[in-house]
Amino acid sequence: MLKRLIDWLDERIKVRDLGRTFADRPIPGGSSWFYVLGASLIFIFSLQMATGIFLAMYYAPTPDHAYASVKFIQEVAPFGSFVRGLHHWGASFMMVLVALHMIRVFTFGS
Amino acid sequence: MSDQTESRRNFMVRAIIGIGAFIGAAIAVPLAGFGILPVLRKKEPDWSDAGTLADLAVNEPQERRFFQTVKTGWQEEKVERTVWLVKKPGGNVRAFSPNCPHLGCGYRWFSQDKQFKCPCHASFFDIDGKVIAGPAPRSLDTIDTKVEDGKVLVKFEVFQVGTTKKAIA
Repeated sequence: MLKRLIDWLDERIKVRDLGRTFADRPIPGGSSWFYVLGASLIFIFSLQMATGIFLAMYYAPTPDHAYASVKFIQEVAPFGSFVRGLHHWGASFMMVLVALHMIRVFTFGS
Repeated sequence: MSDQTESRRNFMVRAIIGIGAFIGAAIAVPLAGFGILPVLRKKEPDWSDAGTLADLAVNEPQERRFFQTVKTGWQEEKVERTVWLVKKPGGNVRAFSPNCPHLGCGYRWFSQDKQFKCPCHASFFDIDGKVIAGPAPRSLDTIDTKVEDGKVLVKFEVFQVGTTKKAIA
């Protein structure tokens, strides 16, 4: 069933080759866990974008209603506290990952 | 040996895709719910205070003006509303929506004739809201009431006009 879906996609946009390019790329000197930080950054940034877009659906950027809108997101909107939490902690995690990634790039000279 | 390495690799690939799918679902489902669920929810209006019970005499309808807090998302608005309150001999209070079910005009109680009369197209209703004369397609719409601490509370709603069945607008 899943194989049929992947076959269908593969015929049109070559997803298997795409996967192979990302996952089976040979890395000179061998792969390492340190190289995970770049892809993690891509993931966490995409998450920030997605949660940010959904938060923007309810947030009111005016001095009068900003607090009321955030209170609504936090307390009333379904999964509001979860989405806001992901966005809040995602931001901090992203800063940590950025620092670690830059240290990795610098120390590995690549 | 090579057969073993192949299946271990495949297992890892499938495990990673599986975990990725799980993480994707754990993020996508709450996000979708966050965006869509509020639209699907039916919001019940809150009770509004329509004045004291003591000022009502039995079978003498009174028009009461009050403010209803209407909540749209995070915004709260105070909207001015009216209801006609009738105290029945049993002690119950009935509330009628102030709009004529024909086309929505504001009707009035005429105590000499003991009828509600609508000025627009001359629909007449008795004290129970039943149509006596005129083009109104149904009787006056009732609004839920309850009495608490000597105050009459109403759950105000706006109804459709022109239909034979009472329906919320």
